[in-house]
Amino acid sequence: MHNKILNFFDFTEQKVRRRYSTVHLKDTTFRDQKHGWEPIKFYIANDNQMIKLVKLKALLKSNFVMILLFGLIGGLQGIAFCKPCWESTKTFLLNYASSGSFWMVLTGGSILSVALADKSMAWLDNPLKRFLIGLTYMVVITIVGFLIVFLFFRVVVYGRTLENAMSVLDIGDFAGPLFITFGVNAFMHGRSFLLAWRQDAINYEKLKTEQIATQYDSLKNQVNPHFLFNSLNALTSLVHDDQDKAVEFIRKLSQVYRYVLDTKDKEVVAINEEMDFLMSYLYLQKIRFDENLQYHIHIPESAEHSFIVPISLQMLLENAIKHNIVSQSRPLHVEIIAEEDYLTVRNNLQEKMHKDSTGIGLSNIKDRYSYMTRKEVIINKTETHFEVKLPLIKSID
Amino acid sequence: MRTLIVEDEKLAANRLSMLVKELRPSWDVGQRTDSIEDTVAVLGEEQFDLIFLDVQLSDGISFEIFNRCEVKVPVIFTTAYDEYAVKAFKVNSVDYLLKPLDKNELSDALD
Repeated sequence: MHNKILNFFDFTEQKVRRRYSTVHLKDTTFRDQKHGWEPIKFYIANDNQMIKLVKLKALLKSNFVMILLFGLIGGLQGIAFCKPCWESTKTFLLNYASSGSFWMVLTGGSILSVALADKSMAWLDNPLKRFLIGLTYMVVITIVGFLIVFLFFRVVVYGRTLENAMSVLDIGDFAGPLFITFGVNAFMHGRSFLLAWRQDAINYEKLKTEQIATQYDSLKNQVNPHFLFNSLNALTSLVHDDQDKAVEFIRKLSQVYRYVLDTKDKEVVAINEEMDFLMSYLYLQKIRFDENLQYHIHIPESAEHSFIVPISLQMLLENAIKHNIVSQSRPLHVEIIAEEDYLTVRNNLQEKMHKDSTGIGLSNIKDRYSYMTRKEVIINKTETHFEVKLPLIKSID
Repeated sequence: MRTLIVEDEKLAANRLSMLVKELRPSWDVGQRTDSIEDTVAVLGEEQFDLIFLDVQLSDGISFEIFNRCEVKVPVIFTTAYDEYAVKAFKVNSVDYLLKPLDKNELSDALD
């Protein structure tokens, strides 16, 4: 079941999990507050489960080809400078076998030491510590591996006694194997480091995309359920009073929701499209609020080919209605005017007493514009008026 | 029976008074207000037997009315969205109706 995890080439998956629980802690906390996710807990819980001993067999099996290749090529080193090897086939084969075995065992040892070191610590958490741990594993495993192969060939293949074999063993004999494993290890560690690094970069990009996506989602939710249910309620009385109007109302309502769905994946829309949508939305609101809601719209031809962020205009209008008194004695006046570089939405300020404002709407608009243009969304609040200026995006890059 | 309909949307108020009229032809459903301000003023001057109260009013959330004056009359809340239900039970509400209003539900509430 966990073969995938045990496979060395997929070993990075384990690191990915670990990365999430550490480096991205800050980022995920940020998401946490905004959307109530709990990715941190999830990954930490997973992390503990993931720290399992990597089975040697599975590890070596998945790297069998690499080990064999190192053995075959590295084995040549043992016979290249050995003159007698080229005179007798038996000597050649024996030497090639022993040399190749050294390479294979030491390569396997290297892989194991990298895997063990990876398991005990991720590269990017503490590179120095990780390096020292890797080094320790390497030296220990190399010495053990070397002794096993050495004694195997001396005792089993050449038929010497254990004492005899041990007596010819010189401390200098370890230098060669250590040199080999050092090289293999450097290669393996470098590889694991690069993989971890790349994965980290991928994770970061993913995270960024996700954040944008969630911001977009929450924005889409701004066309809120209050609006829908209030509209449906208004419709129930319209159906009795004025059937033609009710039909028109349903048509406009469906236009509004179709637009929200259609622009779901768009970053910007032509100002005309947004205005059509806004007019449908205004129609619905006028039915609900009648003379209590007044508006004035002026979009000069010169501005018609500009772009804006979808639904931003409607959100501002919805905000104005949500936060201000819209009554017969105190009607709300909204102006939507396009000028040189900005589209301005202005309303007379007559705030409701109890505002359950989250401020998400406006900051969402600001965030979304920040991805599209360097010009900022300008918000002006005076004693009498509230005004938001949306930058007009002239061309889509 | 004399009722007060507190509702900031004219169409919604029409619908409600029409339904009540159908169910209880003898009741006086003519009184309406659309804001916290007006409601508090009207409640200070006149007597009612039942209040239909929309949660979102033109100048705020209608719970504010209970902070401003004492309401002894039973209240039926009407709202489009049910995030305020729990709060409604803390004041003297007899029922809580979701818009669009259902005649049967209203009938049950009046009983």
